[in-house]
Amino acid sequence: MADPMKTPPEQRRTLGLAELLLGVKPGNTGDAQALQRPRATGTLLYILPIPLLIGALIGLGAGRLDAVLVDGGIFALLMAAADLTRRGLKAEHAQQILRFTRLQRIPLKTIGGLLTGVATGLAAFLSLDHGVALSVVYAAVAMLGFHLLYGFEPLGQPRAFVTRDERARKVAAALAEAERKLIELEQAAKTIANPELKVRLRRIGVQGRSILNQIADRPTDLFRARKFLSVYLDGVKQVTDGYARTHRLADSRDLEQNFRNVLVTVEEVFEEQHQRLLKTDVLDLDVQIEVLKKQLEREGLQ
Amino acid sequence: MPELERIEPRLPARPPFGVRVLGSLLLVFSVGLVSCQAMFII
Repeated sequence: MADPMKTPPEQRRTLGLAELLLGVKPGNTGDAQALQRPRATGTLLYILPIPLLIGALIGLGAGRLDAVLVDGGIFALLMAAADLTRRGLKAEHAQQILRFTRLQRIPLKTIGGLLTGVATGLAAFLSLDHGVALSVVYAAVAMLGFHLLYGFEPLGQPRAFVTRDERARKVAAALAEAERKLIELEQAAKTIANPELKVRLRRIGVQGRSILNQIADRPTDLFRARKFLSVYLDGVKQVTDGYARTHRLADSRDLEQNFRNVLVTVEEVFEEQHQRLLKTDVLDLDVQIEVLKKQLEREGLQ
Repeated sequence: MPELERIEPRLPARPPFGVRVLGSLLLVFSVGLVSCQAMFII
C-alpha cells in the first residue's frame, strides 16, 4: 500500500464521515467492496420476530407456559429461517469466485423462505387463534414478501460450461474436480497457524488456478497436465491435510521443515507446469506461423 | 479438440427497488404484524 506521507498533499483524498466512523479503509469502497459483500443480508428477518420474544418473556412473567412455548418456539423457528437465509445469501455470493465447479448446494435460502412462511402461519394459527384459511393466507403473504425481497434459489444444478460432446464433458469434469481439490487445499491452509506455510499454500492455490484457466482456454492441454491434476494436486492435498491434523497435536520442527520442503517442491513443479503449457502455446503459434508462411510462398504471394 | 464454452456464474438479477420495497412491506405486514399481535394478546 502506498505510504500516505509520500503522497503529495494535493493528491491526498479526504476521508468521509462514514469512513472515519466505521473505519472503512480508503480505496476499499465502491464496486470492489460491493463484490466482496452480499447485496442483501436478511437483517429484516432478524428484526421482525423480536416482539415474539418479548411476548414469550411477558408470558413467562404472567405464568403462561403455553404462551412461552408457542411464542418462544415460533421465535426460534423464525430465527432459524433468518439464519438459513443469511447463509444462503452468503453461499450464493461465494459461488461467484468459483470458475470451474458449481458446488451442490442445499437451497438454504429456499428453506429459509419456506420456514418463514410456515412459522408465520403457525403464529397466526396457534398464537392468534386465526382460522386455518387466514393462517395459510398469512403464510403465503410472508413467502411472497420473502420471494420479492430475497428470491428463492433456482431449481437444478448450475453448470460451469456448455458441454456439447463427451470429450468436453470429460474436460469440464476434470477441471471441476481439480478446482474442488484446490478449494479443499485452501480450506486446509486456513487451519494452519504458521503464516509462512499459509502463504506458500495460498500461492500454490493461485498457481493451480492459473493452470486450470490455461487448460480451460485450451482443453487439449488437459492431456499434458494429467500428471499435475492426478498426482501433484492429490499429493499436496493429502500432505496438507496430514500436516493440518498433526501439527496441532505435536509441534515438531522436523515435521514443519519437511512440510516446507514439500511445498517448495510443489511450487516449483506447478511453476514448471505453467511454463511448459505456456511454451506449448508459443510452439504451436510458431508452427502455425510457419505453415502460413509456406502456404503464402506456395501461392506466390511472397 | 473439444471446445469449452464457459458459463460465468452470475448473481441473480436484483429485483427493482419498488419490488424490494413491496417485498419488505409484505414481510412487515405478515411476520411483523403477527409477531406484534402475539405480543399484545397475552
